[in-house]
Amino acid sequence: MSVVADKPTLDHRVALGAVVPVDVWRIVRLAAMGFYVVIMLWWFRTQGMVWERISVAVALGVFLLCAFIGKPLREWGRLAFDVSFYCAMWYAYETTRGAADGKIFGIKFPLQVDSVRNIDRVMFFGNDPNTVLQSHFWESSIRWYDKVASTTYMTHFFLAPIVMGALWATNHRQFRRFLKRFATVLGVGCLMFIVMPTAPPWMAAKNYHIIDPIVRNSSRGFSAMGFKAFTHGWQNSLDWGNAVAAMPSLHASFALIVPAFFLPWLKPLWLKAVVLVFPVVMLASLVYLGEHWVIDGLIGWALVGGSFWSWNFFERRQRRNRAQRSYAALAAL
Amino acid sequence: MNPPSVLLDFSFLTALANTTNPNHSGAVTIFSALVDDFVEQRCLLFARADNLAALANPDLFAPIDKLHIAGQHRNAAAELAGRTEIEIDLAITLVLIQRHRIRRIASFDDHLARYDVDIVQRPSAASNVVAPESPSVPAATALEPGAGQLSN
Repeated sequence: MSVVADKPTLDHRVALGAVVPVDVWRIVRLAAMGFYVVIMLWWFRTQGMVWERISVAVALGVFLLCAFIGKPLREWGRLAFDVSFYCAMWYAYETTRGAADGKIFGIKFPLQVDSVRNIDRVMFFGNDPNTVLQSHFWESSIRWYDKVASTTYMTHFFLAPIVMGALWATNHRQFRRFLKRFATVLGVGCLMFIVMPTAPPWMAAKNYHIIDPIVRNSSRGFSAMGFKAFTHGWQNSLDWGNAVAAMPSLHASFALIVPAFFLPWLKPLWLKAVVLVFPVVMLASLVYLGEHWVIDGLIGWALVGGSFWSWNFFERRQRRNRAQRSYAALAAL
Repeated sequence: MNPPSVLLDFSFLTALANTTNPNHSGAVTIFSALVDDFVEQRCLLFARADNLAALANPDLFAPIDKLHIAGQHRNAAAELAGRTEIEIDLAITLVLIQRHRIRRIASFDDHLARYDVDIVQRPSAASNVVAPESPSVPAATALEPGAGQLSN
């Protein structure tokens, strides 16, 4: 037998699609996912944007049910494992956020107020970026940039879950890669919430009076466009939410992690630059809306960078180890 | 989004694992190039889980991911075998590579060459297809346009 299987001419080759039976379930899945998207758009328009954690999880769960119709049992088992991890990840996040203000574990670290304000002042030559932006741009009437800032802010609640859902349904390998990086950012973020509770700028102005007064109304631009946020009664379950979880800014982290993940597949340089504008707009919005200090966002970005670097390093080492095992076994034959 | 996937079929795995197989040296050459590509994320390696289990050499096949055969794959293969002269084992492989959109196969089985898949060749046999942007990549594993990707 020849080592090389010569390619026959195309005239003699049979298209696999012509002989292998069609996967009918795939058609069902595509139809179900299409129907789901239509329903979600309708829901978004009539009931409001699904944004709080449990509603997002339910919406994601329904989508995954559509995406896994007719898939082999082994894949359903893998889905169950993934879903468990996903839920545990968010549960840990909510719990440690609560712990940060002493509600859950009784742990309480000193609240950072002046320190972050001072870092921002050093970076901006003695100015407070939050108050500078609001004094220049905030008006009683809603301007176009209020809509941009508000909409960008709201994407935090659904962009990453949408990306995860899409990857979950279409490409499990990439989903796992994304989830590992995402969970690392979330985990380190949670630890920082506990050991470094930090007052956001609006609180620093309102409760501690260490910067000029700033207005906090992150959703007004979003509402002005006719959108609303859907909130189910079970939002009460999120009462652990912690107001002093400014450091790091996960808004900034999530806004970077999505474009950063897809960056290798975007070939034109200009497109890479365009998608990286999004995290910059997010950070500018967070500062303008008084939700975060600039340093919160920079630390959030650094977390994303660290997560990507660590996982890239670890995955490369894993591949090398697998190759080494193989070469060693080959040599021992 | 994934690197192109390559299926290592049973004829190839057998040749690789068995030093007395006449195709062993060819298999080693191809496999080494594929593993190098795997490390550099230029390809993903797959094999049928039942084939890997039959040869029981997990270290040798460490870079290879398993393709598990589900009931629906067997049913589709039985249907394919029922209306053609294709053997059930080959039919299962065809169903798997179609469902997972794999279009490159490392194989010494001439039957697969009848289908519109790329059979991975020895570097020396295909030196004229080295990708110009990656001259160090052995020709057998240079990424080719249209190479299939695994969807999950």
